[in-house]
Amino acid sequence: MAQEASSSTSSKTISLKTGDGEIFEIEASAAKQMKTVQRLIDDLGDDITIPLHNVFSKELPKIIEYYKKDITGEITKDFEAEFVKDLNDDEVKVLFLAANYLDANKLFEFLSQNIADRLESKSVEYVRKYFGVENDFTPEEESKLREERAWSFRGIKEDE
Amino acid sequence: MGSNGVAIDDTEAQTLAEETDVISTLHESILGLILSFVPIIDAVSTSVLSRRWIEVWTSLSTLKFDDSLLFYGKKMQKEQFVNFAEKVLLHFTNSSIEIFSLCLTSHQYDASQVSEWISFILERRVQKLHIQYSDKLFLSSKSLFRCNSLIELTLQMRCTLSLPVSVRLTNLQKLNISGIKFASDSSTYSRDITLSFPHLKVFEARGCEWSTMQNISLQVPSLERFSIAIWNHHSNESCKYGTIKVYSQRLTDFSYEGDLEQDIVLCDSSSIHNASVVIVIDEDKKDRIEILGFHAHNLLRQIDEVERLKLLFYKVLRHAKDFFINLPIFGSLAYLQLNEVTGEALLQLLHNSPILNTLVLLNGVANLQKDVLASAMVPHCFLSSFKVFQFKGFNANEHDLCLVKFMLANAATLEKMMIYPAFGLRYSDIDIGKVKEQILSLPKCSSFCVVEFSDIASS
Repeated sequence: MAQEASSSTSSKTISLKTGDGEIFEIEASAAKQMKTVQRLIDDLGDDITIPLHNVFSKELPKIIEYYKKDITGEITKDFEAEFVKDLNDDEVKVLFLAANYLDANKLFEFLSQNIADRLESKSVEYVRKYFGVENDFTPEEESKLREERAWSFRGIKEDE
Repeated sequence: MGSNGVAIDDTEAQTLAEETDVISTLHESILGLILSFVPIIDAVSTSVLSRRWIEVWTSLSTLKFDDSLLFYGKKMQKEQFVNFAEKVLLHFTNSSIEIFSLCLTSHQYDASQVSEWISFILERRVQKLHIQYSDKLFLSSKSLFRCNSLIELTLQMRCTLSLPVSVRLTNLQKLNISGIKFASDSSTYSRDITLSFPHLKVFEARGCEWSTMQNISLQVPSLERFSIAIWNHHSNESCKYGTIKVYSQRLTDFSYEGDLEQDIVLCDSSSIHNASVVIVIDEDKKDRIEILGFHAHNLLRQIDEVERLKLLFYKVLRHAKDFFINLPIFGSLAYLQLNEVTGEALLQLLHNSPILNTLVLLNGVANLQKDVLASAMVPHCFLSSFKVFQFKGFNANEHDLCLVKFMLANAATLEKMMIYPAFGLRYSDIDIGKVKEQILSLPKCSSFCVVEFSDIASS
């Protein structure tokens, strides 16, 4: 692909190795947007392959795709909608965790909003399952609490 | 967790279980991370997830109340909404709020109640405050001006704020206000009122009333964009408004919309690149037209170094002659957009813009006398820099054709003339095809000038 001809860092590529052993290349300017990666580069140098134990080959290409668009300033609402269109709730959660680990702020905020949007009318049970929250209330405790907080429920959608 | 359908043995199963434990705690923490992106009503309902979660939402740093939010498929009733807001604020434990937004568009509320909510927030070191309400509110000026944590402030509501002699908000970067009436504390009639916002980058005030007897001094050294719209419809001679003085060093964008009844003084306008001046004067002010012309001149003189200028006049056309006497020279002006001007005014502007590159006329010219043009000197920009002319709202009448003829005959460096027929033209009995032919056959001073006609009527 065409390389940016500006400063020496922007045309450089960094090698990233996922937790499952695959290697991907990203531009140094994209790496800068992921603070964890940048920290590793600062510690280990930019010539060696940076190991990312908690990111896997399923997610990293998508993240790289996002930041490739970001450095050329091409991230639009349409692009973001397209980006998450085919991801199911679990896939977006894994991507979010990866963005969190990589300290990739822009992607993190975008995915936060997307997850929040997806949960908008989901039931309490769904939310528990989604985040792995164990229900440690007794049935009586729970119904009492729900009654007390009735003012904050806005219509529960049946789980699909 | 997603499985790949492969059978696993005991040791693998144990590792998988351990991993799942780690992953599930991780996932639970995601909820905390995204909670501020979730509508408040859903965030509150996380309290029934598990024991751990009962109180988590109360320490959110973002609170957004919107009374148009759907509740069981419909908008909340007013009482429900008030009850909801009160309960949330009652349980709220965070001592500082990053973002508070209050959008009340569905109902009318008891002003004192809403004011209590706002006071509550102002006491919590709020950084970004956004209030939108179409009716009257009371807001404690004291608590507002003491809230030094404010970074962004948006107030779109009707209320009166009383200004003390000195206001200083050291963190404020963006200010957007509309519908606010500023009055002064009665004890301070003699001194200027100073509003000091050392880090303010954007100032936008629309439809506010600055009805203080004193001058208002805006100390805004970091300001980049200043935009004000003031109409003082009820002004009478005895009520003189103070001058608004803007002290900035980095201002690049200036926008004024109003009736010129209140003076704006820019104490350092050398860095302004773009300016937009929209003057709206009612018919009944024609006896004041000379004074207002003087005010207009004062305003334009301050922005005479801009590179791009949008200058629009409404309702002053009939008396416009006086405005254009003593126009300043716009020595750096490359782009000029006008809506309605007389031929004389347009000529004067062209003469005063020696390096003009592009001229955009939104509604053609009114009252262009042929003899005025015939005897007119060719403006300097016609011989050096004038390249693009966009004629929008072209009516194919005598004035418009006269102007087009004058341009083509004298603009030696003109490269492109775009003519956009006015909307009504297609319904008139003027033969547009013939007009086009006529124009294309006019003598052209610039041999490389292209004349194009847009088929779509544009504003």
